[in-house]
Amino acid sequence: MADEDAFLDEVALLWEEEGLFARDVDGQLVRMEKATESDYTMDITMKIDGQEITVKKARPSTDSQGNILFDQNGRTVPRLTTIYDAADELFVKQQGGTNPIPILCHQEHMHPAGVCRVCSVEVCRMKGDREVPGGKLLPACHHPVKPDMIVHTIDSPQEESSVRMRRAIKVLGELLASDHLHKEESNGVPNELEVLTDRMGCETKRFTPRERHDRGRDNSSQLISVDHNSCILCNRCIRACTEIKENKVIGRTGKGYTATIGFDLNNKMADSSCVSCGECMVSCPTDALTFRNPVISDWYKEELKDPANTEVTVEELKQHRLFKAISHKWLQWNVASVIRRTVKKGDVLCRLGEYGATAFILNKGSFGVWLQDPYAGQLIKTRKKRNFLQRLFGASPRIDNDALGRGKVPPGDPLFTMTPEDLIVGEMTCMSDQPRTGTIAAMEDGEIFEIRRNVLYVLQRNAVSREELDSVYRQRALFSHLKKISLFAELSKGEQDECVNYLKDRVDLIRVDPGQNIFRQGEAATDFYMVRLGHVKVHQSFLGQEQVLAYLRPDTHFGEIGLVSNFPELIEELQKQEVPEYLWRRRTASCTALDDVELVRVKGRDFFELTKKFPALKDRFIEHSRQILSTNKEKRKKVDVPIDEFLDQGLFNAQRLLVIDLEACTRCDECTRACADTHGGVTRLVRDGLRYDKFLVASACRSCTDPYCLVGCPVDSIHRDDSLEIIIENHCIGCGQCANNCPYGNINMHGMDPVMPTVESDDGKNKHVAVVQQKATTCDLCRNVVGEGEDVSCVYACPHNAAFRMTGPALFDTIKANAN
Amino acid sequence: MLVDRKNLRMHLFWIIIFVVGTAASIFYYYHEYQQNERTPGGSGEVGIVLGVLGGAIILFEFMLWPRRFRKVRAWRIGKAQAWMRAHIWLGLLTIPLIWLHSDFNWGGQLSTILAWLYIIVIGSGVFGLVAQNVIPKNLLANVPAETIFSQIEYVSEELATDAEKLVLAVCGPAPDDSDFQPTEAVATSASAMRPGLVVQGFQRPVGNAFGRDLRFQLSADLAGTQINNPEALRNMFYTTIRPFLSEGAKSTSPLRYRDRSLELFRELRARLSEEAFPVVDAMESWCEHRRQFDRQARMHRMLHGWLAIHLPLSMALVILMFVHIFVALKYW
Ligand code: SF4
Ligand code: SF4
Ligand code: FES
Repeated sequence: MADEDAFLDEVALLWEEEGLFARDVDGQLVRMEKATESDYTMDITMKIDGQEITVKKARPSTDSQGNILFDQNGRTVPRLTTIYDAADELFVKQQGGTNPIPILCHQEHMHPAGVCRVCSVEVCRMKGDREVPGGKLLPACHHPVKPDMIVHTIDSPQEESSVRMRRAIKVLGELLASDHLHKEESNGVPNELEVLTDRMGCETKRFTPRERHDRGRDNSSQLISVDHNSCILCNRCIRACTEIKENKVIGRTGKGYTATIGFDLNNKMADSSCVSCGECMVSCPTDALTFRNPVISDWYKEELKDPANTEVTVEELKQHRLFKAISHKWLQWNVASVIRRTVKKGDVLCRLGEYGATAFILNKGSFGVWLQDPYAGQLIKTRKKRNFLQRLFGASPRIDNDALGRGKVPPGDPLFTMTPEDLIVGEMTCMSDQPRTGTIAAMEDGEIFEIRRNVLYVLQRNAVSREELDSVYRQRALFSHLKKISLFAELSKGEQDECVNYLKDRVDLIRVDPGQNIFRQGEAATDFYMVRLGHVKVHQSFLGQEQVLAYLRPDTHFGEIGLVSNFPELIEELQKQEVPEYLWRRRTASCTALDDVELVRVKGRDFFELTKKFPALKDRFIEHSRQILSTNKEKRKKVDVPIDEFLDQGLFNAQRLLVIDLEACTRCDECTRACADTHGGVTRLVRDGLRYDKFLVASACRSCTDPYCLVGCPVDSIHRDDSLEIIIENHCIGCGQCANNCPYGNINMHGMDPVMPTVESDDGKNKHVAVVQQKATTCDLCRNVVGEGEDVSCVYACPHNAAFRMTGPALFDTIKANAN
Repeated sequence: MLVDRKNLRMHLFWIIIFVVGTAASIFYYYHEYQQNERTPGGSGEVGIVLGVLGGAIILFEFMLWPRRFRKVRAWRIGKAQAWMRAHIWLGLLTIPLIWLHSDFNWGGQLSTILAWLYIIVIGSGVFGLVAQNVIPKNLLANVPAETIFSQIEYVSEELATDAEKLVLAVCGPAPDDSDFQPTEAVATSASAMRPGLVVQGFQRPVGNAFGRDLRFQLSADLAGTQINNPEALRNMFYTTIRPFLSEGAKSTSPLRYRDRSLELFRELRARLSEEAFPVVDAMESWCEHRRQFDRQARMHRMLHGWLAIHLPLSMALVILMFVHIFVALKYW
């Protein structure tokens, strides 16, 4: 019996004893039991609204984007599965419906705070064969699941319970609404509190509002209006600011009826350290924090000029299953991030090899995908020849724009076609920041929603849409990678297809975080890996010293050494290289991810089977392994250019470094001046930074292969268009997320010329204030001045042949060549 | 611009022009001399041809000057380095042209002034070229803490403020009667970048991110250090270290000299317990940074100072050249 009662809340009892001041050690308002790793494997079977569900007792903690969190030792951090999680699992993931438990202070991507209690559920226990309700209602958003729990929600088929639940939550809604729901002042769009009161059938004026204690307004910010009277103190804004964005600006202030949220030391929002990212505002379930104007980008205005494109309303978006979980306010604020495109047969949506910042949700029609496209990457080939004088004075090569093949559908049949069933295309570029892996064109007239990266980003906050996007991504990433593996290069087309077919169900896509070990030296070697994205460091401990042997780029493979003892042809080589026999099936080196890495993993035995089928593949593999075996030993002997420093400075990731040869540079700053001249007087480069050999790696955008700066811009003003450069559009709200993300300090925040809007002051009068809007700026490779492949202004203006643009690996090679 | 073996290919075309031009002008001059059995003179055919060529080149050389203006710099009229190469080698080519044009005579007053101007312009240019080949290498080898020249004062003040914060963190606040109270920069938080304005969005100072981060990290690591004789550190900091960090060579601090600095810090260490040594090490290395900034400033002046002669005198040279042409035509 004691066990059966276990779920009847020892934790809740503790809270009551601890009273008002109970705080969790992590600063959470709720106190939750700590989970252990063994809880990951423990099954809990329970019933919700009469339906049985089995869930694990714990699950790994994730950040707001659903990425699994690791502690300092690289282990996941377990958290207890809550009743709300279990209901989500049962009703949303398994049945494709909606979660019956209403929430208000909780959001799936936040830690629960447990302050509103609208998620209350009734938990019963069996007494004999009778269900007996527990003494009180429990908050589902943070109450952990327990074995044999019987939960009733407002939709329970057991009427008695559902009525009880509805009544309880209705009263909560009515109490909140009477003080904080000011429908007469709302903009006509229901906020979450209003949606809840409507759903629960609350009479919003049943309780007389307490004598209105005016908690005031704050109109100082140009982005967000604050109405403290509408605030229900749910803490969502505080968690958004503190946990999600880590800006730590908002807290609570005051007591009792005067309690409000406060910015810094209860300053006006505009005078506080708020960076205006809008996260608090989109998290607020009431009208306490509302945006002043929606974000409208130049892209949106441009696109709408085309009669084939039209606006999409929030209501229309909410009809689509992907957008259901996105908050109304977020969609309203970012309504310009989605556009409806009517497409005609033959319209090209995107082209292989180009970068892009949008994905396409397929509504109507069918769309062909070509993984090979003769019109892609024509830029380089079509450079115009320069005459003698032009060459003498270093005129940049021009590109013949007519030859780009824009808008032309690739010849032949597409590799496959996609329909609205496939939900979305073009998402891979947005999610991985890599160039498009295929050309997509409409096969018939149809309709799509073109969405920007911030929409994809917010979709990933919801477990269901995240999983849906993730599985689409995995499938496509694997398929497109298998199609271009270099080991298969010498096979005929038919053989290649056979290999892809054989492997397609035998490979996994795995993601590794920067600094995480893929395998360690000495471990048993079973699998073989191909790098799809990112960079991998290969290092070896030799005579007690750690030495970096190499780093691997995308489209390379590793881990084959563990498989070589399966091939008699290679045994001899192993003996020649004096590899002791006990190491033959072990890893000879460790591999660690340098940045965000995606790997395609093949089981050793599957690969071995494949080589048996295709002798050409086997020969290639043997030759390649032989090379590695001999170079490993060579590399240990010879230390040439310090590769560790190269890796530590992240240079491997750079595609357009601005490097300055410090032996030739006279520090005249012509480069900086030219940059400023090209960008309205604001330089995008700072002639300072880290040094590598005799080169200064100046602070100017490096055009990384894995651009950290692009992650999480709330309004998608920073991205790549068709080409390599990172651009920051005018609608940047200056939140600084990108500047903080860039590990090399290459994004600067620049104050625009002050504007003088009218704002309402404390005494209710209007007055003018001078507002300086910060905007992020970064090197855009002079995209408005030069074409692809031409010299950018800094390089063009350097009179001393000291400034160069090159990739990180090219810099490494230059230094190596100079050293020899 | 580097003119060395490694960069020879880049200069090859202009070197050929220079050599061929020099040889051709000498040949032309010598040929005339042989035919007429007297030197051709500045107003003879050879003199005029060489003079016109030299003058045209000088005008072309002068075209590098407008490139310094904002509008012109943005024109895509050839890479600056290509112009610079032409400037160097054509400039050198004027030596034989003008020399032969002068017929090895100073001439009248005007042409003597012109000749001296020309010699100084060419001399300063050659000095500049040599400086560009020597000083950057020297800077690279001897000033690892180098920063942007125009930012030296700013970065030094930042260095002094960061150092003061560290001293404050390890020594604690000075007693009320102490002479060494925190300076204004440390006592008031200078967070508002633009007083009187509402700044919307994230603010961050530009550049210098790495150096400062390292200093912050070091200060954070050392902040809890227990120090036995805070007065000694505070005293030396406010009397000697801080003035030197912010003013550098302009101060009268003995820290301007490396040897004296070594000695002073050795003495300071002797008065403190071992736990405080990392703090002293940090101060010592920041003083070394400051000395390097001063060294950098000296080298920078040498590297660019010659332009203060080269540019205005080139301008004077061009003006006088036109006067010279006018006079020559008038009295021809
Ligand atoms: S571009 Fe940077 S600063 Fe601007 S809104 Fe996006 S993340 Fe914020
Ligand atoms: S323009 Fe060339 S020489 Fe001048 S500071 Fe820049 S890199 Fe150095
Ligand atoms: S949603 Fe659970 S307590 Fe508010």
